[in-house]
Amino acid sequence: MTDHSVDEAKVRELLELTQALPRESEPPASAWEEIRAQLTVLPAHRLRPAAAWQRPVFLAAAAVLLVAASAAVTSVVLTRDRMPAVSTSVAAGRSEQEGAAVLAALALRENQYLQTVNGLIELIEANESGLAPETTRTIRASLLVIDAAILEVRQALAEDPANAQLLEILEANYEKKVDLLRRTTAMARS
Amino acid sequence: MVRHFFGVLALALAAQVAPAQTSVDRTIPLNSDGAIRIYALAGTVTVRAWDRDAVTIRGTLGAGNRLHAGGGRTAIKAFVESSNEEQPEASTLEIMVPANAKVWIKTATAGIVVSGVTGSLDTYAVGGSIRVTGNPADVNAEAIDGDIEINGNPGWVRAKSASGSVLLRGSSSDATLTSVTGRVVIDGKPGGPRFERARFETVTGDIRFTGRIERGADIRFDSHGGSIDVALTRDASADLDISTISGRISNAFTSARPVSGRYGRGFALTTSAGDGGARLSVRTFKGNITLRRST
Repeated sequence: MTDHSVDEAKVRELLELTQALPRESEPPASAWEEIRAQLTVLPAHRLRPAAAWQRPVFLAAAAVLLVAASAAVTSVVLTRDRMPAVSTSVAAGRSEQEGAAVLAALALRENQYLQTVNGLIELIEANESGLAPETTRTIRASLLVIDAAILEVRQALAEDPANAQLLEILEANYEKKVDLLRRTTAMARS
Repeated sequence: MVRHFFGVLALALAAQVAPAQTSVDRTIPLNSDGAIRIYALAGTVTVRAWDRDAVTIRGTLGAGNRLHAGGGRTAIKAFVESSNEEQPEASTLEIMVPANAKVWIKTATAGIVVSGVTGSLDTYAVGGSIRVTGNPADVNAEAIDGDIEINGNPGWVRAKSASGSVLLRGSSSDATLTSVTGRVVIDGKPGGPRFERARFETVTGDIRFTGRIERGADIRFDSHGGSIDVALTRDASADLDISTISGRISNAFTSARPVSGRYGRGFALTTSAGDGGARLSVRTFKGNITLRRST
């Protein structure tokens, strides 16, 4: 729902602006002295709660940025095929942006899959006594095969990040892993 | 000599102490469209359909096993309880069920054999194989280690194994067959329904398809490293979208030749047969793809 509300032109403008930013930026020369002064004043037990980046206002801002970035990335991925033709130089730049966008989208999707996979593995381990040792070995071997396939596609994606077809294959492999784990969980439970 | 004597004595005592196998023969009334759930750990479960409104369970229970069975006319439950669930003794059960019943079977290492059921069929074998013969309205067959074999034309079929092979000798209008490392083979027989919606997937297992597809069908083949061989009948009308990242494509079905992949990697082939209409998608990461006419 959020994805469709993102304006494509604004997303592209945002990506151009972020690309124009320097990759790293030094803090002002006086900053470290001020921080050191603060550190000596504050007692040790208050250091963690007082960390600037952990304050609610910063966390809220970070959350907003994360949501905006996720929506933007997803929007770019989803609308990629519908974008109008552009000049070669812009297209080359767009290809890099797409690559970055695909990898960012991949990171988000992988995170979701990994959470699901870990949850299912925990369930299986909790019910492992319900499975024969040879069955457990078969499942582990099958998971290794799927993991090897996932690794191969990830390596290909690292070389060719704008390749949406690779992303589809990677996602299909994750789906197969999740499906196998779900079936195993169901069988081990009853 | 003394050791031999004690060996013989131990065997004789064991024969006296070990509980013997027991025979079972029970009949329970069940409506023609009633449901039956069967649960057994080891051995064999054979289910056959008949035209009586009853279920009969016959067979031999392994030492220490007990059969519990009961229920009403609409639903029956039968399960074999083993005194040692870690290493259960094998039981051999032959169960007659009304042809149109809804049958659910689950085993650990026991093999499952079903024939003649026209109702719905749900089978789970963790370490055993599953063999179904006939034309059930729908079949769900899941195994981890074991092979799955379906001989017939179920209206709807889902068959999944991890390391076992999945074989469909027949066809179905709605089919999903998957395995991780095992082969997936579809050997469509003439006279059965055409495939309308189908998914055939593996990770490293090969996929081989021979069959007829319905006009307007949506058929997908997907393997990471297994090869995919698709043989279509001469009268097939389909739009084919074939791609591989690092495998090869061989096309002996139409005159089209594969080209470089859309993203500059691998190969792709987009071609049509007949008037088109059905969508057929074949994709691998590194497996070879062959498209040909069925003989």
